[in-house]
Amino acid sequence: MPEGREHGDAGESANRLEDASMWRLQVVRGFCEYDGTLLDFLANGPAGFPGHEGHWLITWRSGGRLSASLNTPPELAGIERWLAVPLSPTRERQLLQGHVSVREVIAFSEAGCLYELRGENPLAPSLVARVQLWELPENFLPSADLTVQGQPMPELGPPSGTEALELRVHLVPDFGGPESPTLSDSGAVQGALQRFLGWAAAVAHAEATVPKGKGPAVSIGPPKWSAFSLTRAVPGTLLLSAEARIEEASQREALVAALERLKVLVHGARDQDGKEGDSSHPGDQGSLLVVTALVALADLLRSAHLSVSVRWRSGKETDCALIGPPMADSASQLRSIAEEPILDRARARTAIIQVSLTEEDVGLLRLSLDPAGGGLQKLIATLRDQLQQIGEGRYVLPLSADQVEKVIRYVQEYGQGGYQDRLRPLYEALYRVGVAFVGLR
Amino acid sequence: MTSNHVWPAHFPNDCPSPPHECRSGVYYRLVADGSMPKEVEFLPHAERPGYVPSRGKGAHCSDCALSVFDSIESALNFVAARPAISAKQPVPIRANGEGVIHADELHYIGHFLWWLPFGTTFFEVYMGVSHA
Repeated sequence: MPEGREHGDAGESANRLEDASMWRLQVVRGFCEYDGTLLDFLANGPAGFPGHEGHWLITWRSGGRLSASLNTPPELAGIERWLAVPLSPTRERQLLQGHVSVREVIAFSEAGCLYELRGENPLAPSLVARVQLWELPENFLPSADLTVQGQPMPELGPPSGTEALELRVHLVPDFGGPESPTLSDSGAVQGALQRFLGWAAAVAHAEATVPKGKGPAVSIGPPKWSAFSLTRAVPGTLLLSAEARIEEASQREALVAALERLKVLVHGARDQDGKEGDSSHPGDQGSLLVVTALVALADLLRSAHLSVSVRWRSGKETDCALIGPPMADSASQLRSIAEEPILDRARARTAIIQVSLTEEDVGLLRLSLDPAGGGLQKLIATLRDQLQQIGEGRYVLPLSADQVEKVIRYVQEYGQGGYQDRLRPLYEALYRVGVAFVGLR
Repeated sequence: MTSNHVWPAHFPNDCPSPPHECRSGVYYRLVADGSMPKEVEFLPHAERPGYVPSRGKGAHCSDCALSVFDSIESALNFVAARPAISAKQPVPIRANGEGVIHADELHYIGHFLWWLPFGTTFFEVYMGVSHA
């Protein structure tokens, strides 16, 4: 889990604060109220807000009297925190018609970022901060897929037995994407997802059965899925479902572990002990394949302008992973909402991975370079430019797929050396769970 | 069934709006988890200490109502959409024709507003106290 999610205050860093006096909103349509307080509504955005003329989804997330514990005076209940999500006309229509959930609208923000509003009145907040999803407390994201009016989205079917593993994949187009994803889009996503799950399941199986450092990953073979079938096609989204035929318990456990790993990689979750959940070792060939498969899936989604919500059930347990557009921390990206078309090349350069680095890690990257140096030194210089400080001694570094590949290649293929060693903390960070793939959400 | 109610003095005129239909059945109110529900948890917003009217057209009338859900599933879905209140749980409150219960005008699934006439409190209704 990225550190920012633990305290949820990353939005307070000065460079992310917006001019709150601009934010004077008007309710266009209410969706939900409780005890007289409007909790979710559509609003006209701040006048003159750069790059977005459309409506915003404003949704209460925490604080104030509703979340106060019993007997807490309202004035001590904590400041109200709201999220503001800019909506394109297409996404607004999908939201109103119940084709995408509030959870998906937040996680798949077309702007690449969200706005947190704080204060007693979301129509005139006292503080506005531009934030990334992973910087918010985990309880800001709805835990279920519900429409904006509280209707559950189509769920997995009735349990078909503890031996099965069911999967539901919801394809949602991003801004600039297709009006509706096609079956050929869905076929490619299925293939990439299955490749990831195949590798991740094999690695999980090996980790469960082979002591670390005692041999190569043992393949358990690809998961044997039933054909993905189209469960629902509505304007704008496709819902697919599938079931894995389980021949032995260890295969199901490995597949569940693979899906959990997907969630961990894209959400930065932690295991129950509070440790970073990925136990793979840097340099582990199986882990590298898993990383590569996920990068391939992310690249495919990006090129197809799609986000996917993956929900699964094994026995009685259900869980979900959201893989959306990168949440690049860039005001210019928000402005690009109004500038069609977004060029594929521009999107391809967007970071897909964001790693957390310490002051010490960054110190290595900042050591002097030879101005006439080769590709490795140019890479280090570029990475320096991409560094973002998010707190005292804490940095994040967004990386493109191309840069990830270069970092891995330089460290693995060229071994130890002065410049290669500067990349080692970054290389190792790529294998830490909770930092590696947050940009994919 | 309809009835002529005497509404508390702090209710705005024409609040609640007609029809003044009395409903019976079990509804669910969200209360703090892990303890016996307290009277304050059954107070409409307008009756709570330090009351400040809510924003928006008609908000003052809805401030005088209690939010309830028509099923446990609806209540749990409401909480799932807002994990910040995951520590709340739904408890049943039985309507026996007291007051007026309207479906939420915003059409949020399963959410109802309940207005009680003068002389009765929601906590009494929850506890099954009869004024007959």
